[in-house]
Amino acid sequence: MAYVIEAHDLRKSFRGQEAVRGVDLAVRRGEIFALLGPNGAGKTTTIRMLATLLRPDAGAARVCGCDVAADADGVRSRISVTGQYAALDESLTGRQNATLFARLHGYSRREAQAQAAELLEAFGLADAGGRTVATYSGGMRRRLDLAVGILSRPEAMFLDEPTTGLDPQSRRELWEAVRRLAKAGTTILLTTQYLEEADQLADRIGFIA
Amino acid sequence: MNLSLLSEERKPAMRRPGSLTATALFAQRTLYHMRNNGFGLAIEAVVSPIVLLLIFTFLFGGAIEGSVSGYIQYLLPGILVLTVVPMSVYSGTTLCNDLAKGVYARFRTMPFWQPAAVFGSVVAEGLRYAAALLVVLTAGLALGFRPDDGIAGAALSGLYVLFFAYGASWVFAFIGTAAKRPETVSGTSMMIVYPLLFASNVLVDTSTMPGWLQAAIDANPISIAVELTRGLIHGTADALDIAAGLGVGLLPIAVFAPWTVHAYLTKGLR
Ligand SMILES: Nc1ncnc2c1ncn2[C@@H]1O[C@H](COP(=O)(O)OP(=O)(O)O)[C@@H](O)[C@H]1O
Ligand SMILES: [Mg+2]
Repeated sequence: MAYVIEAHDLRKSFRGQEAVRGVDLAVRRGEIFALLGPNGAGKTTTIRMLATLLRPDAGAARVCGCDVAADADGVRSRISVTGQYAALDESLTGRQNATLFARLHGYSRREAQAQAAELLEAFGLADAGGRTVATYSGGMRRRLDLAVGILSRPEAMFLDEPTTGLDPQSRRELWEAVRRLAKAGTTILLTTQYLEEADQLADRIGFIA
Repeated sequence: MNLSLLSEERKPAMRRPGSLTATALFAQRTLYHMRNNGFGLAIEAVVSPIVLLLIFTFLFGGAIEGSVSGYIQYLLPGILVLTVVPMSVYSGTTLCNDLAKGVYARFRTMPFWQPAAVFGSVVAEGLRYAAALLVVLTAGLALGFRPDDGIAGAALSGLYVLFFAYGASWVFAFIGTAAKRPETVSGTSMMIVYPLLFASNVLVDTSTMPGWLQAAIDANPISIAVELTRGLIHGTADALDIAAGLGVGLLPIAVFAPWTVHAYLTKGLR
């Protein structure tokens, strides 16, 4: 498999308005690829198509060797998506979130608890694990989001504007987490509005406007 | 940050959860919600049913019937329905919340049996209904309510109200998948629920009303449910009451459960 994420001429319109006008990209294993573009450029729409959350109008894409249209389940079992807003249950505690998602991925009860504990520790959330996510800061949510995202050991992760709204300190912590994930072999496609972020973090950058 | 747990040898066994396991996990999630919001649960399932029961018993009992202990025999079965049906709106709020927030996107990209997210929360809601039912029954007994059909009747009617509330919860679950914001769900649902609850036979006997009004109120699904609840608790239900009562519970399940699941599964996938 040459590329983990490949897209050819992906297109999507909403009510006749073109949101994504022909995106091409190719990302290798362990690479960090940044999709850079201003608000409304179609970054979220592109990610949603690659992650099988939205059907493209035209074009084709393969993720982890599976066609997004023909084998959505194959894609889903190999990726994790972090939306622009943290994909967590706000009314649950950090630990309950991590354990629930681990169980939904098919871990045994005991393994799920062990994984949750280890991930909370690794992402600096061990102390906050007993509080509901509604009380978390933006940076804490993002880190928990990443932690929950790697429970399934995804081959590829899609991160939609992972640092928007974070203070500089939390942003650097998140960058560090992303780098480590990539070093461990996870392919990362992230979106950002900041050239500086793309520049600092990504191995390669794609522009979208 | 130590990510040694990402190494291949540390990869734990994962077995795609079956549909029952996934449903149980979503039910557990709803139980966690209740536990994390114990105060809200106590208000909703304990305090407010008791307050409602006291108000109606003493206000209407004095004014309508002239005797509190006489009126409560009539009133209490209706209060069971009046308490539990509005609680079932919550199933719609939960669904809408999931759909409005990013957590839905995560659920959708996970390879478990997707309808579990809908069924699990609806199933677990039953615990809240059961808690409120017990509270109302116990408070009623303390105020002088005596079920003519004893424990068996009380238990049967409790089970029926639970079933009827499940039926109602599918209507609200559907509204939850259709609405954009959770606040819209509770607003819209309450606009449906309260007129139906008060234009029913919960508080007053329809037999003294003019014919057309009586016909309209007797046709209200809430009235039909209350009629059967009363009949079961006092041992006076006939076959027609039972058929009609089961019908008004089953109908919303048959119509709205498939519709809700379909709406949930296709949301935003166009
Ligand atoms: N579900 C939708 N319905 C209608 N228009 C949409 C929808 N999603 C996105 N759009 C439109 O598509 C364009 C691209 O949006 P988006 O992908 O969210 O951009 P970005 O993430 O780069 O800010 C915008 O003009 C947006 O208004
Ligand atoms: Mg976006």
